[in-house]
Amino acid sequence: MKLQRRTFRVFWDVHAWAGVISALLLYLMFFAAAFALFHPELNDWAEPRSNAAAHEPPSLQPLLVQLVREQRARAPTHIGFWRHDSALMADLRGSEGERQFRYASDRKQLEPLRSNLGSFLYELHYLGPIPYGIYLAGLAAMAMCLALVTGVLIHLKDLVRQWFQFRPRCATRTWASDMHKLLGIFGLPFQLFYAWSGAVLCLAYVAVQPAFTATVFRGDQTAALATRGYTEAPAPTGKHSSRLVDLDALLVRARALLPGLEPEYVALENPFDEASVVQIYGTQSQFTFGNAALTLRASDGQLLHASSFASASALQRFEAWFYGLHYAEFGGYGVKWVYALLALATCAVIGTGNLVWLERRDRARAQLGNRVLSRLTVGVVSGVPLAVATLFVANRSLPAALLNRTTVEQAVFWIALAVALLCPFLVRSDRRVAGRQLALAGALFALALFVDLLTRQPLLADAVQRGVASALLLLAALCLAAGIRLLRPSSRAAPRSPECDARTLASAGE
Amino acid sequence: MPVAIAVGIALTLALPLSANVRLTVGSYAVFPVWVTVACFAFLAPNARRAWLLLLTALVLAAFTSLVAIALGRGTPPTWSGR
Repeated sequence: MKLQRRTFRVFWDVHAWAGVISALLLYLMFFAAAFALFHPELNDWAEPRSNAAAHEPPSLQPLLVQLVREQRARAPTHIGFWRHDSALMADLRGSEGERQFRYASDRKQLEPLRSNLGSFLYELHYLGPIPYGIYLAGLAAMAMCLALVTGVLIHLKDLVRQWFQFRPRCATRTWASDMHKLLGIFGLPFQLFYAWSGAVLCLAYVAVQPAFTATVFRGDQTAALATRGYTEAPAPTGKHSSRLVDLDALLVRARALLPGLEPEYVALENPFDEASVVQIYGTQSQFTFGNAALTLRASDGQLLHASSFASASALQRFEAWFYGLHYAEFGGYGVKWVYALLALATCAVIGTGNLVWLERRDRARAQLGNRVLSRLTVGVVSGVPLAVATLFVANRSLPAALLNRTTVEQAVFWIALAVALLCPFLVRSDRRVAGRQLALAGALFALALFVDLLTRQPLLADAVQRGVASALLLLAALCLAAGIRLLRPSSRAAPRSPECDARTLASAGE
Repeated sequence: MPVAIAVGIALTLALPLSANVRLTVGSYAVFPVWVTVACFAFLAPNARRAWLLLLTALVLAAFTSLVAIALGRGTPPTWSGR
């Protein structure tokens, strides 16, 4: 199908502008996404005292007693336990904000978290650490939706050819355009779904749901929540209760109520109030995306609310699939690795998209706006991997007993990113800066792996350590290869050579 | 975005499907509708035509919703059934 000349021109401009406006944020989000997929494993790996020992899931009751004994002065209003294959975490909200703990299997008790590397990269995926970042991420996802749809429309006429065309020896504009389209078409279903689900996750709660509640549900928030299988936790009565709930007994009851339930998150709301409730979220392994949730009254264990995949409505089943696909809650590590590689491929699509914009419109970077865009692109594309690599090295190098260790780790990341963004403005050659920063990122990923192997005993003892070591090795190789390639003198064919010339213009859609 | 939300609400209230399926389609169609509306708005020959297109879509969606509400759809008891 071929578009009319004017339609083609309009969609071309929309594609280019939507892409270039959102590109740098999207690059950061997709690069962090590759790590966010493994954030529980990374949290486990990043903990300084974590030494492989695979442990049986511990009983929650002794840990709850420990938390209440040690943290009572903080007047906790929420205590949550979050269980993953390899780790058990706890979070506590009270008068002094939120605190996180991790189960130390050798001491059989909870200890304050000393690194949240995995959670930090997970939050970075939706720009959580930046003020109003989640809304910015939502807007970037919307721009990505627009860029993808218009991108497909302008290439409908030669979609199959673009899938198989890559000419690495041609001019920058040609190989960048080829790579942009090849990886863009290859990852299109992944990118379209993530742009859509990302926009929903970041913006629906503030932009769509209030409008639906006000109109469709006539302002009835409880009815709106009920259709999604949620209930509001009862408000505290203010009447004090000194009896502590028995979490293990309630988990046994929950498993009896929902056979096959594997609890993943157990939350105790308002622990010292008469209206205290226990909320249990988990999965039922007999169903794909079989999410289940229970609310039990803490005082007597009475069931207040239950939802499971078997009794779910059409909306709840759709949402289980929609969010399950976004969070890769299926297919195990194989699918997560494929997702991670597609996320990195999307980073390449985004980076080459900006390069095509610059090479096509202002090859000499004569205009100030294009010079700034060029340097920001170099700063972000090579700076984000460098900052993440620095974060990994900091995690492995900082003393375990350091006060506010998580804050220091994150400060190292932001400083590294700021320096990497500044460098292209200080050094004239964009290519050289990008090459150096990527090569340095590769060296730092390799250093993080080296320090990890040196300091951990027994070596590569568990699957998490082996997985992270493989990922660090892969990232080091990718960054070093890209950096060295950029630092080598260019040996491309002249843009007017027969191989590149005729089809360059055709492939650019001109 | 207001047009896309209005279309989503209209779909939720007016589609001839069961209540939960209507809600699923309506609430998750908002962003795809936004992309579609944006593409059509960009194709308008000038800004005035684009605004006119958006306004027409908004009025149509609001009118559809009002008719559906007048016919008794969309009140919370409707959502008890699947």
